Amino acid sequence: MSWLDDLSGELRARRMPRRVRHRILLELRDHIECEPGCEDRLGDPRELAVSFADELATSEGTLAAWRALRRRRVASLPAEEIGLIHRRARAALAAGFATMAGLELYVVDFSERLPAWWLGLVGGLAAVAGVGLFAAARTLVRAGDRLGRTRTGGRHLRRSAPCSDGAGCAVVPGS
Amino acid sequence: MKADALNGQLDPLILATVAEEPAHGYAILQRLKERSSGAFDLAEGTIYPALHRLERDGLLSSSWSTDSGRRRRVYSITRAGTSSLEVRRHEWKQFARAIEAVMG
Repeated sequence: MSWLDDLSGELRARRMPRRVRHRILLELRDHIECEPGCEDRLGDPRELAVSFADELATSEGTLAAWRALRRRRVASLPAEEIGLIHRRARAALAAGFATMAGLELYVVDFSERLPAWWLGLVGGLAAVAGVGLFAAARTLVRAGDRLGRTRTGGRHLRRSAPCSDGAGCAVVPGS
Repeated sequence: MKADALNGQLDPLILATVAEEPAHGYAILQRLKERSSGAFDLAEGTIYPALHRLERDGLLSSSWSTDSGRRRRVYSITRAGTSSLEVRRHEWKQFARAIEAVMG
């Protein structure tokens, strides 16, 4: 299995959209073709995929929030559009939880080296953000249930139901 | 020089490199190596997430080009990227002067 195959698998494991994955792989393939045998210097495929996923998830959240806000005055939305907002918000939420976990680990790891006030501030803010993320996750699950029911019934959803849910859960991780 | 010494400086270094001339990822990395005389010891792959981030933030733009039948993504600096680079240059000069004043 080649380095690019490994990277492709890692990107797929992180649910990177196919279009983005394709672009990343083309860029890295070009890099390797410029200097065959340089794969070792490119670094660990898993770490690279994580870096890309972090960048993407942030933008996914922003895109989800933006799309939901732009559609806030529309009376009804196609289920596919709600689905897109839902998927983007889900990716952003996962990144948000990973970030919160990372901050809490940072507090634990550096508990003996950094001032207590700083650790308290970081830990406290991460905990508060965690509460917001849990609230967003709850809303996201509820919106997902409604979306699932609609897919078996009609093609459009009333704005007052899942659109507001989508906007709510997108704004928190998006920001 | 280890990669962690570059913390926070990779973005302006990339912007400065692309500001000279639009380039694809490998070429950007080669220019970085040449201009630093190979001083930066970073995993080469790390440049790509940074390029994507800079593009997302509107500091770089990119498009596909074909060279010898090979598709490659070529990055250019935007107006916002040029302004950001100027700010970062100014900040770096101030920082370097202050360090030099203390370290001698």
